[in-house]
Amino acid sequence: MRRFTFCALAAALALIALGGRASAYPQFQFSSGTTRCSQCHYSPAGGGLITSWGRDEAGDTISLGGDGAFLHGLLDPPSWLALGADIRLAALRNEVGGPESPEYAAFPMQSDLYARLAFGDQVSLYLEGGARGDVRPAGSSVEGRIESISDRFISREHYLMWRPSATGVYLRAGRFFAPYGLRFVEHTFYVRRYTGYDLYDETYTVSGGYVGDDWELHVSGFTPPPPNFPNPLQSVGLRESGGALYVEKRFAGMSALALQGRVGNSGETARYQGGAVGKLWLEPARVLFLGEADFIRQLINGAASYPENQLVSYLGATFFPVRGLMAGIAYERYQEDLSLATTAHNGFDAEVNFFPWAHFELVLFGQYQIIGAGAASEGPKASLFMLQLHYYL
Amino acid sequence: MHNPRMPPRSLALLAGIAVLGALAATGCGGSVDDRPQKWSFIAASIVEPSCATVSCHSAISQRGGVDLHAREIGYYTLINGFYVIPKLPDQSTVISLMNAEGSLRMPPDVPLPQADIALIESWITDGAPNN
Repeated sequence: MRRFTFCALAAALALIALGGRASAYPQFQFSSGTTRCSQCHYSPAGGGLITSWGRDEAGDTISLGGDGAFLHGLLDPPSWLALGADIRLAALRNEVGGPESPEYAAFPMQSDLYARLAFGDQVSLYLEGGARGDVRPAGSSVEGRIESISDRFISREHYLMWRPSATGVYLRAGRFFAPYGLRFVEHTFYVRRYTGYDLYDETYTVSGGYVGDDWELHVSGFTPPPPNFPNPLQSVGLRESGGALYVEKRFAGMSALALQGRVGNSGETARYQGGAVGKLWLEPARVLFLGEADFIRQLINGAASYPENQLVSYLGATFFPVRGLMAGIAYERYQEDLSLATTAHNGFDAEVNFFPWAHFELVLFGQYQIIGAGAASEGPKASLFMLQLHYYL
Repeated sequence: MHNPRMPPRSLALLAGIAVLGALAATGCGGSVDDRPQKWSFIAASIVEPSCATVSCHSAISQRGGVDLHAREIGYYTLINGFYVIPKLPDQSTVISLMNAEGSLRMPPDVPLPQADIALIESWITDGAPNN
């Protein structure tokens, strides 16, 4: 057994050298019979390492079969320790126009290790680390990727949490995203990319709130990593300090409505955003609807006399025809400037996720974008087709 | 199997989601671009969210030696690297890259609207000041 465990951990560490992002599937809320994200995840707002409940769900209701437990049930860590890993390999075809388009790429997209250490019944430490994925590395060979691992190591999440029970109040501090919006796996969705939740945008955050059976509230204050922190602890994106609020009310175990707000200031820009999230599970049709819309007003130093108003939105439907399979379509829109129609981005998405066995997932993802529709000279169109192989330990 | 009747609250929620969808689908705004032709605006509104992503021109990746994560650094990177030639948008590499002329389009995942490229061209034509 020790030899097997050593080999499994060694394999996971080797794969770390090849590829990163936090995973959450809001599509499973309600559709799997689970109403709270924190039932399946240790994080009170979902995402990241899954709990023993989540592992059971993965084997019993989501996949066609298998044991969702750590190492397929071959090793049972002590109750104070939870471990996990995510490995995701991807191949894509990207068409954006120009002489080098379409481009084809195959690359390690995600490789993350997780550990959660519990100190008694109320306090825990959560650690995550991995290597950033890179679609277009300078050296695309396996050797080149391994050689550059030290440049790409990053810890997106690490935090200390006080949480006396599965429901009720909690407080956590460390590096993680302030709860806000639909936290899709696909970071390219506009509602993630343009609201401050793109890949590796995680901030240092203090967050507290209440999670109940039919409602939850999260209040957060955040700031970017100090500039003198090493790269593995740095974040990219907006680099704002501010606060966020997310409150979700659930109805009859089949729907939810959330209101949210976020204020951030980077020194260059002050952003004020607010919006709503809707979730609705129609059991007879086995369809889940997810929607989010955010209005953003940004004031830019140096151009402060021109306040820019933006809109980011998402509306999708996911169909669960049989166990082990989900298929979704979505429409998303990002309007960079509401006063100018030609700054609109329209995205049309289709995704099929197949879970043949616990721990394994096959993803087919397609996205078609129309950029700047309505202009006299219409902007470019972009299409993306992606195949992903996902394994979690 | 008995199909439970949808409660009124859920119907209201479904309607809310439909409204969200309609809002998302509705085109907004006019056709006259009166946005500021200033680097401060272009950097914060266009360049940083589109180009300074983690694997591209962020502070930690600086792909091709190009760091666009902040206003001042981004400006001097583009000027000193001759990606922007003041007053000469036709000779500025940044414009040809955004138009996919002779190379992969930048950004390669979410292309910029023509309105954004035109705004950057106008700023370069004005002498590309650090304003």
